[in-house]
Amino acid sequence: MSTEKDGGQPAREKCRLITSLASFARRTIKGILAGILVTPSAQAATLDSVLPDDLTDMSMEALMDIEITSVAKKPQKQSAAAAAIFVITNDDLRRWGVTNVPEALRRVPGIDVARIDANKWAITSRGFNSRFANKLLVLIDGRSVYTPLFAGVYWDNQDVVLQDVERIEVIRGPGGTLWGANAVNGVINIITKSAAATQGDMLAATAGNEVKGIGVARHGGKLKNGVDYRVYAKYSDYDDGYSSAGAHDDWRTGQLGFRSDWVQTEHDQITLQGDYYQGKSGQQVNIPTGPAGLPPTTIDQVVDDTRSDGGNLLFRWSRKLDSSSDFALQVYYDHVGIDGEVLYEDRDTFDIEFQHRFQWREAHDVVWGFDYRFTHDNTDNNPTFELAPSSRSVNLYGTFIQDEISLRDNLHLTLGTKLEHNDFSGVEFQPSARLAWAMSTAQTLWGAVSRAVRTQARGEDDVLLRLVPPPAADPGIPVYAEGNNDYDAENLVAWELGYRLNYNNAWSVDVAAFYNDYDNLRTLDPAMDSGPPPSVRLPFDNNMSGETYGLELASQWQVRPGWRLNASYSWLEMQLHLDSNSTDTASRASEDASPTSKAAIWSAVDLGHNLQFDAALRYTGDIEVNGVDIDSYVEADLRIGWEVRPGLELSLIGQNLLDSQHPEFLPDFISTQATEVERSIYGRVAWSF
Amino acid sequence: MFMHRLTAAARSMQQLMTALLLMLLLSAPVAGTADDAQQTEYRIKTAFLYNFSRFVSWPEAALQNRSEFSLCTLGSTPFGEQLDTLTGKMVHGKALVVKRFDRPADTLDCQLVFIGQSDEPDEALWILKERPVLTVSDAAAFTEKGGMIQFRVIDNKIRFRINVDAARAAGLTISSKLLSLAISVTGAR
Repeated sequence: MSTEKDGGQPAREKCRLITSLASFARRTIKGILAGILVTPSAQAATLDSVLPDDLTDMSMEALMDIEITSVAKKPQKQSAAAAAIFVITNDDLRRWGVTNVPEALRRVPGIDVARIDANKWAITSRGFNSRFANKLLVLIDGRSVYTPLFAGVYWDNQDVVLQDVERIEVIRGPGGTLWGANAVNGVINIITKSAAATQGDMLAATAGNEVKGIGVARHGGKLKNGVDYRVYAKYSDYDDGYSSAGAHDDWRTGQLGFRSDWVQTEHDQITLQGDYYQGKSGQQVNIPTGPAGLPPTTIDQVVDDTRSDGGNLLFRWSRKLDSSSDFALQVYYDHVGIDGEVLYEDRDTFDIEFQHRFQWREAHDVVWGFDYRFTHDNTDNNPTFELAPSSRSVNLYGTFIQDEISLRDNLHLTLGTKLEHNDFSGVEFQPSARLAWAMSTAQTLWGAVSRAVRTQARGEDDVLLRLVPPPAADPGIPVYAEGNNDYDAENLVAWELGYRLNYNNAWSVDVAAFYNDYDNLRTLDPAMDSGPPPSVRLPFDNNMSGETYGLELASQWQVRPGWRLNASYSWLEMQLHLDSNSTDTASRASEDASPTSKAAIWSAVDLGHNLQFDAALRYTGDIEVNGVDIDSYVEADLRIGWEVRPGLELSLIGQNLLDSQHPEFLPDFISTQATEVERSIYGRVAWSF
Repeated sequence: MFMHRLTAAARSMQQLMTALLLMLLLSAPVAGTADDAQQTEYRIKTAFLYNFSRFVSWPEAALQNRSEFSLCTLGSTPFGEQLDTLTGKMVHGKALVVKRFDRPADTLDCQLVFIGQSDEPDEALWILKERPVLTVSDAAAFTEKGGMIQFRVIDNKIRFRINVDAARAAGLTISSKLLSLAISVTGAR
C-alpha cells in the first residue's frame, strides 16, 4: 500500500464534484419537467399557524413541552419539522424499562436494532445494518460518537445516566446539510438535561438476571454565583448472552461525569460538561493463524476482555442577540481508548463549531456556521489487524448555510447546503431542500430532497485485516480485507415525503416515505496476490449502487386520561446492484441484513394508587446475515411501577419475555462469537431527594 | 414484475415530490408574519400566567368584594396584545381583566402582577411585600429577591422557579401541582 495520501487528488476531486453536481442538476431538471405537468393543482392554502390559537386550553405539562425556537441546530416544534423525527422522552425511557441507549431505540420506526452479543450491537437507520453500520451519525450533547477508524459506533462505550436524559431525537433520512458527512440515513441526538433541571440528589439501583447490577448516584446543586451543576457516578454490570457453546461476553462499565450550566443573563448560557469511563467487554474472537502460504490456516478461539477507557470535555456558549438571532460556540475534546485482542485504538479528537442564526427581511430565518475537527490516532498492529501508517492525523473542516423561507404563514421552504473538506475524498457538497406545509393546525405535509455522503473511514484507507476465510475457501491461503487509497466516498440522493396528523391531542399519526438512490457503495472485490506468499486480497472499492425505499409510521392514541397506546411500523426494501466489472460476492448481502418489516405496539396505563403498568409487543422480520438465516421474532416487555411517595419509585421489569433466548445478528469483519438475547427480569429502585 | 412496479412507484413518488417542491418555488414568496421565537415564547407565557391564576389560591378577603380578577403588568413587557386574549376568562369565579401600569404603587389592587424586565423589580417587590398579589417576572434572581414566580427558558422550553415562602407570607397558597412542575422551589413546602 502506498503511504502517499494526497498525490493527484485535487484534479480528481474537482472532476468528481462536477460530475456529481451535473448528475444532481440532471435529475433536478428531469424532476422540474415532471413538476410543470402537475403544477396546475397548486392551491392557496388556508392560513393557520402551527400552534393552536388558544394555548390556555393546553395543560401546563404540554406547555412545558413546546420548544420555543430545531432540531439541535435551530429548535422548532417537532410537528412542524420537514423531516422524519421520532422523540424518546425521559418519561418514555423510564416507562419502557430500558437500561441503555440501544434498548431504547428498539421501538423507533425506521431504526433497526440487533444485538450481536451482550456488548455489541448492529444499529442502523433505513438499512445497511452491521456492527460497523456506517450511515448513522450519533451525537451525545453535540459531541460525535461515530468512530472514524472503522465507521460506526462503539455502543458499549456510550453510557449515559438515563434519568438525566432530556430526550433522544431520532431523525431518519439525510442530515448532511446540518451535520456534515456520515449523517446519510439518520442522526441520533442524545440530549441530557440542563443542570438546572437536575437539582437535588438521586440514587438508583437496578438488579436482575441479565442486568446483574446498575447503580447511579447523582448530586445536583447550585453555586453561590448562580451556576447550576450536577455530578454523577454510574456503574453497570451485564451478564453473558446465550450460546450453546458457552458465552464470554459479560461486560462492565463505570463512568463519572459532571455538567454545569450558567445562565448569566437571560441572553447568555454557558455549559461545561465532561465524562470519564472505563469498561471491560468480554468476547470470544476467532483469530486465523498459521504463517501465510503454509497450509492450513487454523482458527484460534481466543477469549478476550476488551478494555476501553475514554473521556470528554465540552464547552458551549450560546448568546441570544435579539428575539430572532443567536449564536453558539461549541468546543470539545474527546478521547477514546480501545484495547482488545484484534481492535486497538487510541484516539484524541478536538472539535470546534460555530453557528449563527438571524432573521433577514422577515421571511428568511438563516442559520450558518463553520466547524473544524482534528483527530489523531495511535494503533497497535497485530498479525490480524494492521494499519499503515499505524498513527495518523486527519482533518475535517466545513461550513454550512441554511435558509428557512416563510413562503406563507403556513408554508416553509428550507434550503441549505454543507461544504466540507476531509483528508480522504476532498470537498463534499451536501445540499437539501425541505418544504413543510401546515395544512391546518392539526396537519402537516412535508417533502424533502437531499444529498448526503459517507466519507471514508481510516480503516478503509489504511487497513490490512486478516479475515476468517469462508468454509469453502482454500484453507492454505490467507484472506485479507485491504484498505485502498482510491476508495471514494459513498453518496446518496434521498427523496422523502411525510404527513403528520394530530387530532385534538388525542390521536396522532406520523407517516414518512422515502426513496434513496445510492452510488459508490462499498464493495470488496477479491484479487489474488501471488505473493510470495500468496494471499487473497479484498480491497475496498466503490463498485455498487442501489435503491432503497420504505415507509415508516408512528402513532399515538390517548385512549383516556391515564392510558396511552402507541404503535410503530417500518417497511424497507433494498435493491443493490454490482457494477459489471465487480467480482464482489458479499456486499449485496446487505439487502437481506435488515428486516423488511418491523413493528411495535405499546401501552402505558396509570392504574391509580400511584401504580403504572406498561406493556409492549415487538416484531422484527427475518433476516440473513453472511448467508445465515435468522428467524423473525416477537418479544414482549412488561413493567409495573409504584411511586411509593413523591421521589421514590419501585419498578419490576421484564424484557424479551416470550423466549428463553433468541438470536438477532452476526458479526462481520471481526469474527467474534455471536450470542443470543435472553429473557431478562429485573427490579429498579429510584429515589430522588 | 412486482419489484418493477414498486420501482416505478418509487420513481413516480420522486417526481411527485419534485413537483411539490417546484410548485412552491414558482409561487412568489409572501413575507409571512413568521411566528418568531419571541412571540411564541410570550404566547406560552401568557398561557402560563392564566394557569398561575388558576393554580394559586388567594385569601378570601382579597377576592371578596371584587367583580373582576386583575392581571396586571408593570413597566414595558414583550407580551404585546397577547395578554388581551385572556380578558373575560373566569378565574376563581371572577372575570379576568388585563391592566397595564407603569408605577409600582398602582399595582396594589392587582391579583397578579407581571413585572417587566426593564424595571428595577426591587421597588415593586418592596411595595407588594406580604400583600396578596402574586408576583411573576422574567428577571434574573427574581425569586431570590422575594419575587414569587420566575420564568426561565431552559433548553428552549419555558420553566419556572417558585419562592413558596414569599407566597405564603402574602397569604397565597400555591397548589401542589404547580409546585411539582417548578424546576426549583425555594422555602419550606
